[in-house]
Amino acid sequence: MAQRYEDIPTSVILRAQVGEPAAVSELVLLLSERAFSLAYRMCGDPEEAKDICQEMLMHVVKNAARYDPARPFLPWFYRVASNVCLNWLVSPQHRARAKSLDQGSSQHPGFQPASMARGPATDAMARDMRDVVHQIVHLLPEEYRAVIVLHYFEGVPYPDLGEILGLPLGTVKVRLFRGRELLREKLEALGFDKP
Amino acid sequence: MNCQEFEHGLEDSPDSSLSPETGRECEEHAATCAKCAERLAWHRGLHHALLNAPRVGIPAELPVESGKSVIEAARRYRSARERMLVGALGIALLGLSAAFFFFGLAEIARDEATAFVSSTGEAVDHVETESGSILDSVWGSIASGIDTFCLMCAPSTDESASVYFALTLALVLLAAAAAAIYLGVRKVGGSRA
Repeated sequence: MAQRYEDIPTSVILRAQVGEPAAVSELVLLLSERAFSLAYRMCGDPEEAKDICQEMLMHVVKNAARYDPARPFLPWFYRVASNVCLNWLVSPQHRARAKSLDQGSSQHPGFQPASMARGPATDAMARDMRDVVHQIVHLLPEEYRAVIVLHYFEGVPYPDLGEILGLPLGTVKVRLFRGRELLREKLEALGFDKP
Repeated sequence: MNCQEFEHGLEDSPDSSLSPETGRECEEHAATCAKCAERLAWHRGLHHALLNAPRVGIPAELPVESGKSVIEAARRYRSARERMLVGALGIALLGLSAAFFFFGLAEIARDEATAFVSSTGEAVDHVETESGSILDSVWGSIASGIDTFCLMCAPSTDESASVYFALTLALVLLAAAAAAIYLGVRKVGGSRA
């Protein structure tokens, strides 16, 4: 289920902005799940997602003073977090890791082919698109992956998506549509002939 | 609505949440076109599957690990920023005290230059009176050049050198006191953490 898109209490943010350790801890605790979920959906590797998650949270805490408390916090958080994530995905560190994983196994660890390669006539659980679709999202190109993950998994509404990714609403809609199209192609390739 | 318009409608939102009117038109078109009906079913199915996908379980140790490392990183970052600010203030204070120190030196130099020029002038007068030779005229020109140079170098101020030196000393003491307080505060903060 998509996370509820509820904002973080302003009092916590204001105290974290001045570096109060208890407030920073609370903020980290409140954001950890969102940050890890975003990182994992974007990279598909739980171990790498931990590193990305920490990097995201560090960026948020370091730059907390730049946040304007008069505006909602979550769009600001997701903007910082998605920038960190997208930068990470083009970094040599990520490429080297992805290359070594590719050499180690034919599939990415986040991608679980065993549950999906059974074909249309087998296990009814594996036939449930919900169980499969979230595991193949990280295989989408980054521009489509980001909008799909933020909108469907993190529950970010359309207008905030545009603000977070710096895109007009029309582009957001087109990317969501094309992302779904690419997912459909991948699902069809895995034997899902009908939704 | 034709198939091309249907595609645009599908881009808007598959569950018609953004535009109910377009959604209704898409459904009407899909009822008459098998290909578009299949596409609509796919997009709606995917839309709901994505919305209802299972949540990612967060590793139990992550919030604790992240909390510790983030707080430590934030502390280091603030500490580095504080050091930079204190360093800049220290450099500014020392620069100001150095300026006052050189003003003091210049004040002394001005007094000495005035004394030197008057003694040189007396010597030149004496030489000119005694011999009046060409060599003596050259010496006189050099002496008056030194006279002008010394007066240009020394600032024309009425403040005494001692005032400048007192200001220098005060600023150095202020910088030392600020550094001592800063180090003391950091030590107390470090022992609390």
